[in-house]
Amino acid sequence: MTDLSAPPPVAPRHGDTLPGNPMMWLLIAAELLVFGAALLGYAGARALDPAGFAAAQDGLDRTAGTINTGVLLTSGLFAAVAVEARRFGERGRTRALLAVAALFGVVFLVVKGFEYAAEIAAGNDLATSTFHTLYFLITGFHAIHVVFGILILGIVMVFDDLDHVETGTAFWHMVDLIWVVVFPCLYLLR
Amino acid sequence: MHPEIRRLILTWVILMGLTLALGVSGDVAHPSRLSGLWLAVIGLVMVVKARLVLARYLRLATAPSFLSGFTGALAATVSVIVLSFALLHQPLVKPMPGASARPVATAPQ
Repeated sequence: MTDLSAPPPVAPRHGDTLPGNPMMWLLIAAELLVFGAALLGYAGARALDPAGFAAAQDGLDRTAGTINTGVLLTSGLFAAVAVEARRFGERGRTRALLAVAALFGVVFLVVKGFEYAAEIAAGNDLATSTFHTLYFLITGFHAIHVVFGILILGIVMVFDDLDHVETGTAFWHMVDLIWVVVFPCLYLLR
Repeated sequence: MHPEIRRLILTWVILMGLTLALGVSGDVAHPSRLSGLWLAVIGLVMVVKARLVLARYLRLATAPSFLSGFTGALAATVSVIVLSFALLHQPLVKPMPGASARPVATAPQ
């Protein structure tokens, strides 16, 4: 039997229309440009000292980086399903899914924290080498975006109309997207 | 289950599979330098994963021209980076002899 009290689902958009607030998409494009420039700068710096970069890279915990990629992608799945739930008017489920997405974000930060602690314990910091300067700056800047993303997910849990949820989760997926490119560049390419 | 949610879960499964594939092709357990072929595989997997995130998680599948634009820009950036790793194994600029012996500037007395 159909639940007549439930609002009808909102149809997904079609026809070259960006989901969520267009201003968020401007921010996403700007952020991708910033990280793109940082990674091109990283490739340029590596071209001046390939051996030094390779030696420094071998000190990174590639397994932890791989795990963190899975953590962020899983978080992204919960955020994307939250949008679907909101489209069907399931507000409670939307909030629960957003909370799980944010929790995975916290897990990412904890793993990253352990990685930083291991690097620092090994005597590597911002000033150790050009590689470490770029590694800490790029991954640190990304981690700050994870923190902001968690805050934004918290905000759209409260102000949960469909447009807000789409906009907030778009920021979160941008954080995903950036890590999908940053992780292989810093950890795997050598 | 709603078809869109099923699609999202399938996307997640593919993304996780590609992440594992990256772990294998990136030889996470060993410090060796990777061959050009493996570098190309890593670059390709990066672009495929980024496109999946853009198309499914960010819902740009419903906005094909934006999807092509974002994917193209990412693919161009990744190509430059992967090519630089594949081609440059020696320092691009050799340090000048005696460069490290350059005197450090001191404040005037």
